Amino acid sequence: MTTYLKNIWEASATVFEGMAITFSYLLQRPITVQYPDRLKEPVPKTLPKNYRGRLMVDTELCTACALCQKACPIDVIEMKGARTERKKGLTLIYFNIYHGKCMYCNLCVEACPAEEGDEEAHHTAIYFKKDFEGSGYELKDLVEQFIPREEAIQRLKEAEETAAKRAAKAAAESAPAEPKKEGNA
Amino acid sequence: MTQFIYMFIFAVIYLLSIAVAAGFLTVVERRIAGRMQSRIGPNRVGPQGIVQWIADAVKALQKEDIIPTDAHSFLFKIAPYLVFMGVFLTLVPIPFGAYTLMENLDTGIFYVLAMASFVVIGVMMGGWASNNKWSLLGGMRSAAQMISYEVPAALAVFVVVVMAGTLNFQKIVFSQGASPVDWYVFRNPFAFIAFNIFFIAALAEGNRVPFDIPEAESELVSGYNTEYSGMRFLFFFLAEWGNLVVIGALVSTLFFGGWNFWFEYTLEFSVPGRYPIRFEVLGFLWFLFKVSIFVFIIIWIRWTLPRLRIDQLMDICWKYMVPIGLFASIGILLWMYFVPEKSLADTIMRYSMTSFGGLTILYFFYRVFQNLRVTKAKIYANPFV
Amino acid sequence: MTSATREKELKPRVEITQISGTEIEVNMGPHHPSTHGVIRFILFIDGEIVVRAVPDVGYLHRSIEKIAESMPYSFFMPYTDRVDYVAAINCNLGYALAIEAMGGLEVPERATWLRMIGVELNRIMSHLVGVGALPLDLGAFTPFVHALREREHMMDLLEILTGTRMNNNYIRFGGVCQDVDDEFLKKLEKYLDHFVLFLEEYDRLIGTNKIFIERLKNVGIVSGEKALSYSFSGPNLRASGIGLDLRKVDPYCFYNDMKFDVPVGKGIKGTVGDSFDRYIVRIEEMAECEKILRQILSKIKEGPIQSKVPKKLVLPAGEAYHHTESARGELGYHIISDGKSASPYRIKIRTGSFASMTSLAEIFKGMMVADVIAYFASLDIVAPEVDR
Repeated sequence: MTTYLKNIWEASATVFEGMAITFSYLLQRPITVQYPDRLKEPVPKTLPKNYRGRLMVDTELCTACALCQKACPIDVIEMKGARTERKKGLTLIYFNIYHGKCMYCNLCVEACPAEEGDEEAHHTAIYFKKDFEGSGYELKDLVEQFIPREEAIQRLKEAEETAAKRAAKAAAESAPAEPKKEGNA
Repeated sequence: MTQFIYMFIFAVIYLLSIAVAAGFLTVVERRIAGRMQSRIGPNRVGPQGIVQWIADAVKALQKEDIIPTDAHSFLFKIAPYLVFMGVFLTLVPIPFGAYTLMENLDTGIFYVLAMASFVVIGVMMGGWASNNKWSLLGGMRSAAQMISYEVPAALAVFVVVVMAGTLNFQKIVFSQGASPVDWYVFRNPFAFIAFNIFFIAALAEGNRVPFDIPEAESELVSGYNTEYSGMRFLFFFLAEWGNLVVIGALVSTLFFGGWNFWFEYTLEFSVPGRYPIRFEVLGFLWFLFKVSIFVFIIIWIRWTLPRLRIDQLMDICWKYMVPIGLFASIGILLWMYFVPEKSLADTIMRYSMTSFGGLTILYFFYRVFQNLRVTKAKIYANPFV
Repeated sequence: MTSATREKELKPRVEITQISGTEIEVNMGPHHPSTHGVIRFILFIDGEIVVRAVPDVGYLHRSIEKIAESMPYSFFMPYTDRVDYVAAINCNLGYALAIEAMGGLEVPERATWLRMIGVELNRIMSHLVGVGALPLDLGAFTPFVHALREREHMMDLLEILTGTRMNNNYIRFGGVCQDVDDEFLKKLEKYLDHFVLFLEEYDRLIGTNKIFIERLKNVGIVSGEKALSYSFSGPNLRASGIGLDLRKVDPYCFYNDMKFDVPVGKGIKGTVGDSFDRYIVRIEEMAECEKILRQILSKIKEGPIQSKVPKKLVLPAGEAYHHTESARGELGYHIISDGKSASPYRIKIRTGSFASMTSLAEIFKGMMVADVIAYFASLDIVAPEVDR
């Protein structure tokens, strides 16, 4: 009999207590925000400094060393650098990032040696932007070409010309050596 | 013929208003659930989301009406309507105001108990006809549950019937009064026990948490309505929320004084070929207020408690509620015999029960604010965000 | 409770042999609301009682172990996140420690402290999911959302610490990927003050609830002996009364400097090793994690976060097994290197969830369908960790 009454008492008391707690939440402000249109400030502004949003590349800063490409476990980065007459060292011919594949692991950013960018926004050539709204309707929308297609074709031509010139130069210097052809993507 | 046309018009008005109330309740429930879970809930369709239910209904109407290949197609088709009918027919004898009721049945309570059983048939039919093992389990569970819980519900109603001396809802309301001391729930301890039993049994009959084992989302996927889609599913849905209104209305009529209000304000409309239609505004609003309080409590329970297991459910019914219901019904007979109405003992008991109820509510709010204080939460009482 | 009633409750509800009538074969999963991902059981039920159960795994198999063989050691680190996405840094740590032990790599002091912050935060997050999903499977939705709300606050902290909310890939060989400032540590301390209050409130909301207790006590009892034979580990083993915690028994990082208790199941509501014990052990463990985090905050010092690690890491030939205490039990990495190539010859991951899965077929027998859900949820199994 005591267990019987105790069960009834326990059940009602604990239900009472639980309901008091849930009621107290009616008197509190919800913690969720109304994304995306009723925010006090845009979400990227509230994110911490090293937030890993979308992967981006600063094509000005990039030295086309391809270290990021090698560091990526899943071939997200597709890039090529070749010598042209535009600048000393390698010129970026194309740089595509497959956002659909990226797993935001930060390995490419850590591999990047070009560290002279804007300290505020990013300090490596390849970096994570704070923007995370990158959805698209098709898989091909998720491929971002940082050097536009026409520009890339133009650069490729230039690179081939340069390669041809250098080959000719090399051939002139040492005639018997077979000229080595460079890159035809 | 005019009589029939009038009845038809009133029936349509009644059905529509209850359907709208049920639809509206879905939004209210989601908003309340949202706030209890630190969320906002639907607030985009219409001001504060109040027409969200229309959007949901339109969406459901556009869905394909799927009938599984091996389902018993006829039974599968009519099951939702039986459930719907069972819930909505129970509203017929319940008075919403002094003059606002469909039919003043002398066998009102008997009729309600009978009509509530329609739901079981519909649910079992849907569960069996779906040709899905989960649905079948849900249907069987619900049959066991609903039939069992009709016993304590009837015992609890018996207490009220003994006190009022009638099965007629309108007369039950007349025999109570406007102030809490005149309500049946605070007349004596047995009536209070009966109220608790009736409320719990009504929850169980309405398949609400913590007794929602026929649906048991995490166990049976969705129970008896797993295979339903589109409009047919919506009928189950409407019935479920219509049931909230039914439970609220029954509880407030039987135990909380119904539409009794201290003042009266009646509107009269003259209608050709019939008596003038009278509509008692204050009582109606007061009744709606009571109903919404109970609907709120039911929703609130749903978002607080886990669900029981089937054997515990049966334990609660047969080991706790039925014996206690029997105790209450015997107790009320003795009480009625030994303590006549308006005697000193009766008056003392009424006032002490009422103050007990009031103190419980006060203690409850003390616990609420205690919890807010302990968790160092900031108070934000605005219901709209 | 008297001993007689307890004995009565301990008896299986039905003798299997007494069941007459036909069995129904129902398919619970892979798409079922409470199989926590894609796990499937084939249940043979008679009415509400399970006569026989066949657990079926492999729906989430991504051959992570095989992937490891085709890539350098450092590339595999993001994949370890996906072994158990609920406690990603725990999985990172196990792998990093295994490689560091094998390659003899140094780890700076601050890096170890940061690792421990990440791991303990992640353990709390994982347990929050565990104790949140349990009431969800029993039909109470609100506690789950409250638990996830707190997890969300912790994700905000992890976002500062690691840069991402989930699948953090935070730990590197010989260090961690980024440093934090003191502001983060202050935020963490402030949050912990709030977390203690939350934990207490959560226990009042659901942990003391009569229905919740009734649903869990004496359900799915796994005795200590049985738990060992199923090779349980972590909170599930401790709930069975065996206080084995790898952080105490075989300390790694700076755990031997930490003062914390190992909560074990005492059977406060029913029997030792029942589902309620598994719940309460997780709740108590979160409180212990909070203590550990406070100690870390008082001890953490400035310093380098990354030691010198060769670009192309080639481990000496041989094999190593390193185990850590993950949120779901012992997480072991068995690594075999052939000594020549920069990628492992073989990696085997031992996870707690898979061991927990082994008990299902036996424990499910004679249970009711609702208990199946309760027992399964109390084990806190995460499907990707089972299949890898």
